[in-house]
Amino acid sequence: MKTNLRKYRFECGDLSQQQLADMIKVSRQTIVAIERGDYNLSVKLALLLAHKLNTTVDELFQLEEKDYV
Amino acid sequence: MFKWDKISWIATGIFLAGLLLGALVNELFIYLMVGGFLLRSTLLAFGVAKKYADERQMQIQYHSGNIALTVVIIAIIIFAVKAGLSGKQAFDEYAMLVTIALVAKGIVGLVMIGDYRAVAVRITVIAGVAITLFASLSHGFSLGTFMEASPGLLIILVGLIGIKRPMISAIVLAVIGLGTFIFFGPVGGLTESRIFMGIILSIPLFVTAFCFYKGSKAKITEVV
Repeated sequence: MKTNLRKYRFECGDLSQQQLADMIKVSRQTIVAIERGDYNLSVKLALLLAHKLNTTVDELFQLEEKDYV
Repeated sequence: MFKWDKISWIATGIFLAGLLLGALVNELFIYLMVGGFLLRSTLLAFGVAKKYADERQMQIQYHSGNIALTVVIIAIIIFAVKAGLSGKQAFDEYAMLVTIALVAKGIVGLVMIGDYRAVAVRITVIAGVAITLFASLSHGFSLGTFMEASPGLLIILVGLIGIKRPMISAIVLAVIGLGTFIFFGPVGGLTESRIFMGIILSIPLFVTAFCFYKGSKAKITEVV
């Protein structure tokens, strides 16, 4: 899964990973894992991230070729 | 991994108390340290301290718990083999430990599926078949085998009745569970193996009765 979280984090006021983590009440390591693509987050968390970053889930995350079954 | 929070303080307190009491009073208190170590994951597993972990941390806890279970079971098997090779008759104790772990995991996993009536039918039928097979394999085909296998057949029947009449199965299983607990517990003397048998047999029956009760309010979607 491709993620644009880092890009939108900077576009939304240069937020640090810790600031974003605090906004959605997760650990900074979780933000790191999402940005690296190491963690498939829940729909709820994806929606929350999109809401906080004033964007949509589609903009934040996209499936890659290998993800299609 | 975690921020230093309220649970960290409590866990540290338990850990240090275990260490201190273990050193000053009795070494068994050292096991309190295990309690301190497992406090966070236990609270998270029971949903008590959800605000202290995010979804990824919860996932890590569950995953590490599953791996730990597998490692512990492998370790128990190795110890059992080692004890067997050195001529010690400790097979029953090791088998008990593995059984407790597997039964607990199996039941919790099935209950968490959420389709209570289907889960209850599955647990009942699997338990009934296991008892019947155990009796058959122990004694071959004879009248004695049939007598010994009859509780298993009865449990299968109760499970199958539960597909259409879950409340009846719930009541029957609760009564059987109570009977089993009393029979293996206070009546025959409180020995270690009897207490184990009472718990290992009655708890699944109570859980299944509860599942049938909960499932009686919902329509069944899938059974086997």
